[in-house]
Amino acid sequence: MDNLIVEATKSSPWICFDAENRILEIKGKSYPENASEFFAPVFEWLKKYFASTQTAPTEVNLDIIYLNSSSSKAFLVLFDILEQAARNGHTVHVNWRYDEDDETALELGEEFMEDLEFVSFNLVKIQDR
Amino acid sequence: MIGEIRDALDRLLHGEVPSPIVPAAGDDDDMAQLCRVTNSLIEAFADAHDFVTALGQGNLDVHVPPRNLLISPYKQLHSNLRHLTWQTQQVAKGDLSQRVDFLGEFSEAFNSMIDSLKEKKRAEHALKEANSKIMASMRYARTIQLSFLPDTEEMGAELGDFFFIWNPKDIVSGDLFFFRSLNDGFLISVMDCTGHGVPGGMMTMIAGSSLSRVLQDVGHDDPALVLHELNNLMRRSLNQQSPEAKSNDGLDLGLCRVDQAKGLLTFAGAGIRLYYSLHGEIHEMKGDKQSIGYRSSDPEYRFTNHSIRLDPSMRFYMNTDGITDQIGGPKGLSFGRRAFTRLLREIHEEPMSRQKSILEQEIAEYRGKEVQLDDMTVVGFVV
Repeated sequence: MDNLIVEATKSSPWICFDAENRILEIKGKSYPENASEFFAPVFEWLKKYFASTQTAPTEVNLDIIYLNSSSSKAFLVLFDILEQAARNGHTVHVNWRYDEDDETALELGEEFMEDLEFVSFNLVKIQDR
Repeated sequence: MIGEIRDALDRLLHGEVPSPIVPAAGDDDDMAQLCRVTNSLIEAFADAHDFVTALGQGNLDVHVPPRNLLISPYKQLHSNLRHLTWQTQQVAKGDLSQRVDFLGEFSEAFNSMIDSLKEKKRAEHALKEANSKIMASMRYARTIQLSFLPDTEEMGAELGDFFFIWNPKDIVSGDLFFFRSLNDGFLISVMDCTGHGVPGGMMTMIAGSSLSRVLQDVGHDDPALVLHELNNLMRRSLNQQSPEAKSNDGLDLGLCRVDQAKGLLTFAGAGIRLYYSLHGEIHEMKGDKQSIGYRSSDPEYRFTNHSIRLDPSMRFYMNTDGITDQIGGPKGLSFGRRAFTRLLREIHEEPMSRQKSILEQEIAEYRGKEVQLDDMTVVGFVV
C-alpha cells in the first residue's frame, strides 16, 4: 500500500501516513476553506489501510496547534475510523502531543479522548518546543 | 622619421594609442604630410577606441565623435541600443505596443517577452475584474447580514449597559448574535456556525431564522427546549437527518433568557459558555458540549437549563471560539480560555465600552502578525 504524504500549507497540516512502518502523523494548523474536501482522501486511505493491514499495532501521532470547527468535525470522523478499527481487533495507539502552555490543545485532546473506548489515547506534554 | 611612423602604426595595430609624431625641422614636404596624416589616423583611432570602449561598457550617453569613418557601423548599433533602451522604458511604463525589428534573435526574444507580458496583463485584468465582482458581492452580503444583527437602540433601551464585538474573518461572518425584548425581560444569544465568509454567512441566515421560528413554536421561557427544537429543525432544514447526508454543518450557541420580574437569568448552551462576574470573580456556565444541527448531532439530546439569581453588579459575557482559539503570542499558540477569563476578571468593572476596546486591543496584540483565523464575537451585558 502506498504511503500518504501531504505537504503542509499555510492553512492545512502536514500529513504522513506510513503504511509499512504503521505510523500515521498529522502535524500543524488546519483551517482549509473546505475541510471535508481536504480530509476526504485521508479518510479514504485510512479505511483502505485498516481493511488491508494485519492487526499489528498502529501508532498515530497528532501534533495539532489549531483546528477550525469544520476541521474538528473532520477529526471526529478520523477518530470514528480509528475507534471502529480498534473495535475490530486492531491495536491503535494515539499520541496527542501538545505544548505545555497550550491549554486549548490539551482540552481539545481531552475532548476527543472522552469518546474513545478501544483506542488507547495518550496526552503527551511537550516542553521547550 | 620613417622609423617613428612605423613604430606608431605598429602600436596602433596592437591596440595602443601612440603619442602624436612631431616632424623634424629638416623633413621635406612629403614627410611632413605623412606625419600629419599619421597623426590624424592616431587621433581618429583614439576617438574610436574611447567611443567603442564606452559602448562596450554599456554607456550609451557617450559622446559620438563626428566624421569618424572608423566607427560608422558602431554608430548604427549605438543609436539602435538607445532606441531599444527607450522602448524598454516604454514597456516598463505599460506600453506593450513596442516591437523590435533589428538585432536578429534578440528581437524575437524581446517580442515574445512582450507577448507574454500582454497575456499576463490580460489575465491580471480578468482576475482583478473577477475579484472586484466577488468583493462587491461580499460587501453587499455584509450589508444584508448587518441588517440581520440586532438593533442596538433596542438593546440599549433594555439593557443597563452592553457591548458587542462582531469581527468577521472575511467580510461576512459565520457568527451571529441575537437579541429580543420581551414584556418581562429579554433574550440574548450568540451563535457560531460552521465556516466563515459566504458559507458561514449562509448558515447564520438559516440559524437566525430557525431560532425565530422555534421561539414562535415553543415560546421563550425554556432555553434548553429551544436548543433541542433548533437542533432538530436545523437538521431537517439542511437534510442532515440521514448518516449519508452530504453536508455536516451546524452551529454552537449560547442562549440567555432574562426574566426581570423574577430576577432570574436562565442559560442553555451548546458549545458556548456564559461567563458572569460575582464578587470580583469570573464564573462560568459550561452548558452542554452537544452542537446543534449537525448530521452528527444527537436529535434526542436534551439540553440543560442553568439559572442564576440576578444581582445588579453582575456582568455577563458570551463569546465564540474565534477569540479564544486565535493563534499568536511568542509561541504561536491559541490565546486560550484561561487567558480570556483572566482578562475578564481584570476588566469587568470598567464601563462596557471600555471593556470592548481593551478586549479588542488585547486580542490584536496577541495575534500580532498572525492572520485572523476565524470570526470573532463577544457580547457583554449588564441587566
